[in-house]
Amino acid sequence: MLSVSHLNVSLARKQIIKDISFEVPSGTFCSIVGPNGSGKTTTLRALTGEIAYRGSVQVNNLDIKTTHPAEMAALRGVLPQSSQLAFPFTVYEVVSLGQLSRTYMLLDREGIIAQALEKVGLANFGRRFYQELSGGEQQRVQLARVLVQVWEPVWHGMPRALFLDEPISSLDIRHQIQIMKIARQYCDDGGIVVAVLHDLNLTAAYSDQIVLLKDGTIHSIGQPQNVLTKNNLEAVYHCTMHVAQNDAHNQLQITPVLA
Amino acid sequence: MTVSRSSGQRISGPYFNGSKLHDPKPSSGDRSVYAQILTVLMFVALLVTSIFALSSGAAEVNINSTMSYIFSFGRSLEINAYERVILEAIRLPRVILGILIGASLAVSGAVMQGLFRNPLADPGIVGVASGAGLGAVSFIVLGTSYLAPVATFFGIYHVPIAAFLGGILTTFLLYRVSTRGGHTSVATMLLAGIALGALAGACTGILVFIADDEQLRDLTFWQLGSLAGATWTKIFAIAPIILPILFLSAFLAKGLNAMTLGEATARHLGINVQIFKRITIIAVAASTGAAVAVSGGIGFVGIVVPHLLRLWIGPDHKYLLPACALLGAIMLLLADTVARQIVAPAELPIGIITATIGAPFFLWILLRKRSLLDL
Repeated sequence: MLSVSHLNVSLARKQIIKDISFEVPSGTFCSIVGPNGSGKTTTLRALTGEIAYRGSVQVNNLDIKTTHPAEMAALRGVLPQSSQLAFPFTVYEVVSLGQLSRTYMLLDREGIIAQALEKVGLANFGRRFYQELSGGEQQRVQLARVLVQVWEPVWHGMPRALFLDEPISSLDIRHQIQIMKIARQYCDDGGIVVAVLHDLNLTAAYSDQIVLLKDGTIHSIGQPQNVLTKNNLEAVYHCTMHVAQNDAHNQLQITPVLA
Repeated sequence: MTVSRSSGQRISGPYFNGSKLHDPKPSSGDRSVYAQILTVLMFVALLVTSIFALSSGAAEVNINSTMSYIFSFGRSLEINAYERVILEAIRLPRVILGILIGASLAVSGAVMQGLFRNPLADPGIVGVASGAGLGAVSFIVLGTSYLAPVATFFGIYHVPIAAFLGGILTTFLLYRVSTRGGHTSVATMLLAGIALGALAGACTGILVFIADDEQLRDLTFWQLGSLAGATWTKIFAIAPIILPILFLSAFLAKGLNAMTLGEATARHLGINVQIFKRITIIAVAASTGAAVAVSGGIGFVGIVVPHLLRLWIGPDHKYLLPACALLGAIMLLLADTVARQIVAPAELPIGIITATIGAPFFLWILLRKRSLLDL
């Protein structure tokens, strides 16, 4: 379980995140949505300990400030918005960086890497050089690396977590769905996913819990159909929205109304 | 609740099924087998190069004598007294010094490039070598006047010790400038390194300006780098610094690999980044200081060797660092042998050879593999 209480973040003396508290139980896909500058990425970076914050963030009751990085690494993987690689690694080598942790002592490293690459749709890319891939392919390689790091969603009885910062923003629609399905499956198997997302329709379709941010505070939180309402979205994004429930596919359809 | 790290059993279940279905080797980009083979080959090459370096020089010592001397560990009776003196007092210390310095320069370069995530980072670039050089030059020039009491106190070691201290001092200064609240900024450090290097260079320039003719000759040799004057004493002075750092670097490999994805990601992968950086910086400073202290500024080994090896065996530091130690040693021995032979019985400073071969080579790599290096 991930629990966040009274999270405050200030960057350059400006308070970006104002007293946020929420919990993500195990088996939950939690999406953080909101307009640009509402503090989505800042929240995620605080939750992963990348930036200084006030308040408390706990993963499985372990405070992320006081837990050793190696122990945290065994519990959660983090996918940054973009990753640049300093040296000419092959795709296989990049993904194998996810296996630095000691939890990998006796596991079948090569088999897991091959499976992870297949999952993200890059089965035959092992030999390719990372820097020669397209942006979308690089992002999927990084996702494979993060998946490999916390391969089993439940480990010694504890749920593990994936923190994903805009995991699908540079992907085509087919791969967007593929990645959302991987995240969904991870939660169905008992893990936790916390993702910053922009696509409201995909978010609604795959998430269990949505945190809608506005100006560094939680505007609303809960299940997709309760959070992604016409009123909430119009208040946060300042544009006219059309929200409908497609009964045939049991799916929320969210579209802006173009005047 | 704490995390148990002793997960002994192989875990089965839905996430581990299919692992036997895949044979990742044929299509995988795992270059570790290739790296291991190359490492063994280079070890053999280093041995051959050493024998070649021992048997070549201004004085005649034939290869057979050298071989029997080496493989009997000095107990051979087949070589004459003259050859024994040449080998034991002159060439063996020089070859061993060359191996130590070459390995140290290449490994320091690779470690620093990994830490800074930049294939151009090198102790020579971030000012550590310049700082060490300034330390050395100030004692060469001022050792008989202003700094005479200190120079007398340290005796014949005063120049090496000054170089060593200069290197450490520059590194700590660099670290102070670029670290705030326990966080070291790599960009600030790189830029601060350039500034400190320029400052040390300017101070060295002033000292060169006031130096007399005899000191100038010493200085030129120092600044260009040379293995001349290798003695067992020098080896015993630097081996206790360089050897432990070479072994330590094996434990840095994991962290350096993680650092290629950036500091934040390295931390998420389980590396305690701040402690890791401190250890790495001190290791590089100490080994660079030690190398500059006995051989002056030998350039390009720390850049060219890691570059070449990254192209051959990939950038995985687990294999890259030992391979750098071997190839650095081979390259420096070859360069030194050329330096001793080319104008025999005089000799060129080795830095001229490494720069003449290294610089164009470096340019060639850049032009050919521009996309891979991602500068």
